[in-house]
Amino acid sequence: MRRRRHALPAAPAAALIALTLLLVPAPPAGAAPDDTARVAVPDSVSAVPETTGRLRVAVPDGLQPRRLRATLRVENPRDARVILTVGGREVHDAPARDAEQVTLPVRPGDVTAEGYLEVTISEVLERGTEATCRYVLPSSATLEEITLEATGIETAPESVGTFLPAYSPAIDVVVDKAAGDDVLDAALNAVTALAERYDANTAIALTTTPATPAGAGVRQITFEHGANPVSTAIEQRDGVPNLVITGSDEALTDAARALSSPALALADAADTSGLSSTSLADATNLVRSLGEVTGRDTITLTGYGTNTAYVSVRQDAFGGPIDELDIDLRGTHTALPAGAQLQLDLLFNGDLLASTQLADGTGFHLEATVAAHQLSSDNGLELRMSGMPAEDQCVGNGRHLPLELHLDADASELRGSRGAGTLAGFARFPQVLAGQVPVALRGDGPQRITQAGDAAALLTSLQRSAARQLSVELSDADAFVDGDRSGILIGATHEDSTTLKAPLRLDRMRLMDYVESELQVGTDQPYAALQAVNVGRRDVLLLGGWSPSETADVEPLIARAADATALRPWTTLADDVLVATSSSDPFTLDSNAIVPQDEVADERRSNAWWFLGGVAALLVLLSVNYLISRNRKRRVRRLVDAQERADRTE
Amino acid sequence: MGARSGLVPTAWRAFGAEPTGRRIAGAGWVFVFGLLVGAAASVYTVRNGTNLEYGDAMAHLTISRRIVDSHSPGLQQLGTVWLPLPHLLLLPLVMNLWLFSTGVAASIVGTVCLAITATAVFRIMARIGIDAIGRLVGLAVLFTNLSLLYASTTALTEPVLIAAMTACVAGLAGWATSSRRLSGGELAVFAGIPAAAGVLTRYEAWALVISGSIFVAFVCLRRGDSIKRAAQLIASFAAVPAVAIAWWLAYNAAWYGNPLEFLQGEYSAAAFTEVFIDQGQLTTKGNFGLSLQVLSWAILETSGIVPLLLAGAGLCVMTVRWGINDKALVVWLLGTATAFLLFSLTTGQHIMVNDRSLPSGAYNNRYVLSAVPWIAVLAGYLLGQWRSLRAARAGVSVLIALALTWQVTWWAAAAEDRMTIIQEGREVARAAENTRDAARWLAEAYDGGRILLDESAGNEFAFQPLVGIRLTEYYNRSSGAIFDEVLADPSRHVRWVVMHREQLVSSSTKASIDLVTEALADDPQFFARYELVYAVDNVGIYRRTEGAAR
Repeated sequence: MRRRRHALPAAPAAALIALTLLLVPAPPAGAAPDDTARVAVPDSVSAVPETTGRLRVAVPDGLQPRRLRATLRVENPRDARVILTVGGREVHDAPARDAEQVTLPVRPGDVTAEGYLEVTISEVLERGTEATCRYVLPSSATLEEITLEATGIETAPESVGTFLPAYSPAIDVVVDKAAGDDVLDAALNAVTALAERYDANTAIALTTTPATPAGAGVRQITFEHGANPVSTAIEQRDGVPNLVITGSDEALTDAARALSSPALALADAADTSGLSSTSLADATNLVRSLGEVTGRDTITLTGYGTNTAYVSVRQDAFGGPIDELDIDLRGTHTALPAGAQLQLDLLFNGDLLASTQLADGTGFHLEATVAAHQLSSDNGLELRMSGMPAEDQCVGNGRHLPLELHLDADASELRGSRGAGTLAGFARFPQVLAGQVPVALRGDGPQRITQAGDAAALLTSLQRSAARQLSVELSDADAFVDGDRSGILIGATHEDSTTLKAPLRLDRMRLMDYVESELQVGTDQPYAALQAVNVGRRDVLLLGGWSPSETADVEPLIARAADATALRPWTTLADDVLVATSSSDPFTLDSNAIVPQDEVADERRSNAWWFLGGVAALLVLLSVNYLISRNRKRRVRRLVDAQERADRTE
Repeated sequence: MGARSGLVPTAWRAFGAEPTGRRIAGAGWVFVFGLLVGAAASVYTVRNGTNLEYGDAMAHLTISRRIVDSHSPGLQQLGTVWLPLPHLLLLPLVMNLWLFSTGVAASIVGTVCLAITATAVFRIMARIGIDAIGRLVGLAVLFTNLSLLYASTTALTEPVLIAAMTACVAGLAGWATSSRRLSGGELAVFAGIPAAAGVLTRYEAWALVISGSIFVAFVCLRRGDSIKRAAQLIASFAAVPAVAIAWWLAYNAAWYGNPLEFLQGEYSAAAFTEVFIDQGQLTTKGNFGLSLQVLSWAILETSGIVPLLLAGAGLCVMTVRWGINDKALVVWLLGTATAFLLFSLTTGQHIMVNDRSLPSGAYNNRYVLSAVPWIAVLAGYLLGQWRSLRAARAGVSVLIALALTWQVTWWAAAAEDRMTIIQEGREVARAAENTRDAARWLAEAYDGGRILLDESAGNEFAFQPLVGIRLTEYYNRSSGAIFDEVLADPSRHVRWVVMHREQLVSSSTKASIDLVTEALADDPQFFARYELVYAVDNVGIYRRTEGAAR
C-alpha cells in the first residue's frame, strides 16, 4: 500500500519553525542536540535462584532517564520467574527464558539523590513443583548489555572532580603537533590512567586532532606545556568538555597519573593547581590476600544447586611473572541441614585443583597449588559450590533452610613464587613489565607524535589486562635498545629488530603453511609487525614495519597493528607476532610459521666456535697426555739406565 | 646360605673379568637381561599402542609384509626410500597377521637388537679394560635411556642400526685388543658382517665402514705391520659391507634402471629435502654452527643431562690417560654416526628439527640414538678406570645410580615435553589421529572386498597394521601396474576407496600427492557408484553401492 506524502503548507510551517526557535533556549555548550541520549553501561548484574542481585546505574547530570534496554539471559531456565525492579518498582516479571531483550521503563523519580538508578534482579522458583523437589540444576539470571536511554542534555562538568563521568564512550587525550617529550610522557600516563578507570567500552586515543563527535560522556583531555605548578581548566571544544592540563616535566606526568585516582573527586573546581598523584600501590609483594586482588572483602555463594564465583587473578598483581601459585582459601558456611550435601570445588583456568565435602562445622579451609603450566597472564579462579537438599526436601517452597558460603577474602591468601614462568610471546605481558613501562619512540617531529598514538593503543590494551596502573616512562630509543629493561619500542627499524634478536627481522619475509595469509604476505609486500621479543631476562614489545621501497609509507600499517591490539583484550592475543598488511586484516602468528630469515640463521653460525673450542680442549688434553707419556718414558729410561749402570758396576 | 653368599661375589668377579680370547664372561647374561628389559618395554608400549605412533613404524611393518603379501610380491617391494635389512628382519614375523597388526613383530626384532647392543657395549667395555663397576655404569646408562627403550619396541630402523654398529665396533675392538694377531677372516666375520648389516640398514653405517677402515690401518701401522698387511686387513674388514653396498646398487639398477636411484629418485632423501629447501626450512644446510646446535640439543634431550655429563668427563679423562691409543680410537669409532649426522646436517642431506632449529618443532631427532652407546661407554670409562679408588668409586656409583634414577623419573614425569623422540611420535599420532580413526573404523566396518588407496599420499595412509587385514586386499602404488588399471575403473575392482576428499596442497615430497584423489575426486561417475560412508576432515571412505566385485 502506497502512502501519500503530505507537504506542509509553506507559510504556516515557516511561522511555526520561527516560533519554536524563539521559544526554545539554545542548548548549553557540550550537549548534543539529540532527543535521546544512549549511554552504554559496562556493568552487568546476576542472581541465582532465591537471591537478589543489585546494580547501580549512574545517570549523567542533566539527563532524564526514560528506559533501560538490556539483554536478560537465564542459564538453565526452569520453572522460575525473573523479576526486575528499578528504583524499587517492579518493572519486569516473566517466566525465565534462555535470552530475551528487555526494555525497562524508568522515571526521573527513580534516580536517587546521588544520581543513580537502583536495579535489582531476582530469580524466583515456582513453588511446589515436582521438579524443584527432585532436581537442583545450576541456574542464574543475568542482566547485561545494558543501555540507558535518556532525554535532555548532559550538563557540562564544572569541576575536575566531576569531569570524568561514570561511563564514557570515548575520551581523547590531545597533545599539540609540536609536543615535547614531557607532554607526551604525561599524555601516555593519562592513557593508562584512563584505561585503568574505564573498561573496553570506552575508546581511548592519543591524538592531535580529536575526531570523536560530541555525546553524553564524551570527553577530551588536553596536555599543554607550561609553567609549574600544574594548572587545570575546563572548556568546551566543538561541544565536547575539554580538561586542559598545563604544566611540565614530572609534575605534568604526576597530574596525568592522578586521572585514575578515586581522590580526583576532591578537586571540586575547574581551575586547580598542583594536581598530582604519585603513589602507586606496592605490588611487589608475592603474598596477596584475595581481597587485595579482587577488591572485595567477602565472596558469597548462596542457594542450592551449583553456584559459582569467578575471580580474576592477574599475574602482575604479584609484581612480575610467577612460576607457581599457592592458594589458601578460608571461609564459613551455614550449618548443613540434615540429609543435605554440600561440595566445594576450586578450579583454576578451568582445571579442577581441589574439591571437598563440607559437612560438620561451619568453617572451611581449602588449599591448592597451581603449577607453572596452568598459569596464564590473566587467570580465572573459580569457586563452585554445589548443594543438594535432602531427598524429601523441596527447594523453592519457602520452607527450606538457607544454604550459604562466605569466602573470607581478607583471610584467604594467594602466594606466588617468582620465576620466568612458562608463558611465551604476547602472553608474557603485562606481568614482565612489573608495572613500569619504558616506552621508546624511534621517530622525530610529527612521526614521533604519531608513534605516541600507536604506543597509546598498546598501552590501553595492556593496562586493561593489568592489575594496577602502569607507570609509563618515555625513553630514548637508542638507550632503550642498548639497555636491559623490558618495555615498548615503537617505530622499530631493521637494525633494532636485529639488535634485539627479534623473531622476525624487519626485512623481507615469507610465511609458510599459513593458508589464511599465504597470498597476502609475500617477500615484496610492505607490512607492519608487533612482536613480543624475549632476550634473556628481557621482554620487549617491538612495533615496526618494512616496505620494499623507501617511498612506501608503512606508518598506516603500523597504526593498524597497534589499533588491532586496542580493539581487544590483550590476553586474547596469541602467539608472538602480529602482522598487519595492506591487503588483510591484522593477524597473529607464531614466529615459527615464518620462513627463517637468512639473517636469523646466519647468527647461529657463531656456534661453530663451540666446536672449535671443543677441538682445542681435546688438543690441550692430548698435549697433557703427550707430556705425561714423555715424562713417564723418561723416568722409565732413567730407571733402566740406572739399572744398567748398576749392573755394569756390579 | 654359604653357597648363596659366595654366588654374588663370583658373579661380580665374572662380570668384571678380563676377556679370555673371544669369550667374555657375563656377556650372555647381559644379552638375556637386555631381552628382559626390551620385553618389559614392549609390553608397556604395545599395551598402550604407542609402539605404532610413528607413521614410519607402520610403514616399515607394511613394506615388510607386502614382500610376500601383495598383488606384486617380491623384493622390489623393499623400494628405495629405506635400506632393506630392517624389513627383511621383520619379514618372518609379520607374516603372522597378529604380530603385524599389533606391531609385536617389530618389538621382537627391536628387543633382540637392544640385547645385541647391550652385549656389544659390554664387550667393548671389557675389551678396552673397563672393570665391573664401569661396565655396570655403562649398561645402566644404556638401559635407563627411555628413548632407546621406546625405539626398541617399534619398527623404526634405529634399533637395528645401533645393534649393527655397536656389534661392528665390538668386533673391531676385539681384533685390535686381542693378544694374538687375528686373521683377516676373523675380522671379516666379527666386524665386517655386522658392518654389512649396518650398511643395509642406514647410511650412517657406510661412514662406519670408512672410519673402521681407517682404524684398522692405524692399528696395523702402529703395530708395525707392513702397508700391504694393513691393506689386506682393511680389505678383509670392508669386503663384506662392500658386497652389501654393491648388492644395493645392483638392486637399484635392476628394479629402477639407476644404481643411484636411492640417491636421485623421486622417493630419495634428496627429493625429500628438496621440499624443505624450497620452503626455506632447511636452515642447517651450509650453516655448521646451527647444525651443531641442533644436533647437540637432540643429543642432550635424547641421552639426558646426567649421562652426557658423565660422558663428557669420561672423554676428558680418556684423552688425558689414553690420548689416541687403540683403545681410545675404539671409543671414538662409536662417535662415527654422530659425526656423520653433523656432516649430513651441514651439507643439507638430512633434516632435524627440535627446539633449537629454525623453525623449531620435533622431527628426526631419533637419529641421535646412535650416540647412546658412545655415551654409555664413555660414562662407563669414567668409573671403570680408577680401580685403586675402590671406596670412592662405590660412593660415586651410588650417586650416579641416584642421578640416573632422577633422570628417568624426570623424563617419565613429562615424557612428551622432555623427550623429543616421544614428542615427535605423539605429534605424528595426533596429526594423523583422524586418519587413524578412519583406519580403526574401516577395521570394524570391513566386510570383505578390496580397498583402493594411495599409501604415499601425505604419508597418512600407511595405516595398514591398524586395519589388520591381508595386504592383498589393497590396491595401492606398491601394487604395480594394476594400480593404474584400478584407478581407471575402480568399481570393477574394489568395494572400498580411501582417499583425500580434496587434493593435498602441502606434503613432504612432491611425489606424495594423493593419486586416488587426483583420479576420482572430480569424477561424477565415481560418486554415482560409491557412497561416502565415513568422513573425517579431508579423509573420506567410500563404499561401492552396486555389484559385488571382489
